[in-house]
Amino acid sequence: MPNETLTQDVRSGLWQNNVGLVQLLGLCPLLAVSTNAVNALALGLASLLALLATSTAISTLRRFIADEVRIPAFVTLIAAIVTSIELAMHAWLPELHRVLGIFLPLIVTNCAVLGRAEAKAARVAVPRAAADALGMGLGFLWLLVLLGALREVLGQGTLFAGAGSLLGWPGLEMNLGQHRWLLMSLPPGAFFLLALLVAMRQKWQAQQRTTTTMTADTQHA
Amino acid sequence: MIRWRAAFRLGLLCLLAVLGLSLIAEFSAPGIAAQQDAQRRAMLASVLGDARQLDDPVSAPLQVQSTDLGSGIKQVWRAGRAQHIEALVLEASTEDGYNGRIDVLIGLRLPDATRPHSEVLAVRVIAHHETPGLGDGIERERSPWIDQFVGKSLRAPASAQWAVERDGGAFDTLAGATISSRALIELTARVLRFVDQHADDLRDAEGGSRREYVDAE
Repeated sequence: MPNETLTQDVRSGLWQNNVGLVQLLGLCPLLAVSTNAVNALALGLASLLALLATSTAISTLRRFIADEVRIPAFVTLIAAIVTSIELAMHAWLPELHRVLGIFLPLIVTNCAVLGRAEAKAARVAVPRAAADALGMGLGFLWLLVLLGALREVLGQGTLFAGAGSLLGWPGLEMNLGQHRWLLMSLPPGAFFLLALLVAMRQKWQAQQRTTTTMTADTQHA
Repeated sequence: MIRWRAAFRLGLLCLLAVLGLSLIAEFSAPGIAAQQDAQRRAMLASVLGDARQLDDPVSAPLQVQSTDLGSGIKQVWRAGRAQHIEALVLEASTEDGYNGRIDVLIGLRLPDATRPHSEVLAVRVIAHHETPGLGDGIERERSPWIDQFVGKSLRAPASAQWAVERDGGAFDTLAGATISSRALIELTARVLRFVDQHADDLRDAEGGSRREYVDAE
């Protein structure tokens, strides 16, 4: 039974309650950093790491944090933890820091992190908080990478460009022709594509609902 | 009463955060310094082009102040063999980028008997705020655009040709980023002019010393 709850916690973040597609949280980094797939992957991983660390810490301290001042307490904890991760990475994992470094400070401003702290981590025990963070982080990660890959393919005609120098996987780099749809690399492209993805998910969800209820009345499908 | 307890706990949490952070900052400082040093060395090697076989850039860089190189104090490393300085690596910056300041490292070979003008070995952008997907093509990792400076001097192309094609110059424009391109071309030309003018002084200056050059204008 507890295992089922944990799985449900993880799956919720991946699809039903996806940070970007459903909650529309964390849009600032989502839209700004999804210019190419490698950047998106890097920010996604950094966010996942930060979410896991902050949710676990906040859940651990949830009885100590007084309700009246919980938001300032969360912000303090999130900022301290993310800064610690950044410092430690800079000193001991320089290669990783070169990829993720500039994105880490951005994560403090990702409202999804504070959102999870408030909605989940402060209310449940550590394993569930961690499972929730894992689901939310992975959900944010796949959406970011998808958006980044779409924008890169359409806007620059490449996929995973820079994977060789940044991640050490030159095999990932792909060149897909000479077309350049500049708009997709610019901020409006991010809005258009995200809107399209959100709409597609809504449509899918609506269809799911009608097929499961099996009503004869399918006019509004 | 309850309120006081909440405030006290928040204060305690802040104190804990400060303590933890200072501890981590303290422990990671040497690692970060070593990291930055290694990065700087790699960076210097990358702009020395085929001159990287020269002895290590002299460890004590000159501290140079000149509006030609940009605002603030710029470091100038010198590389050469047997006390004879053949190449320079200069920090330089321009405020004319699309989103403001661009910092670069420029490696160049100093003029000598056979070469009346200094020659670019390589240019690398070390910090910028240009538009992702457009202006960030000035980074060597993203586009080979910046390699067009290699081997150029103020004689070839002629000084007046140091501009983008659109302005009648000899340099390619980075697609969609005319302003970024223009800023870097002008900065490189300015640095070449500066070095041509002060080559002897830069060569002979004592390592680590501070130099100030006032515009001739």
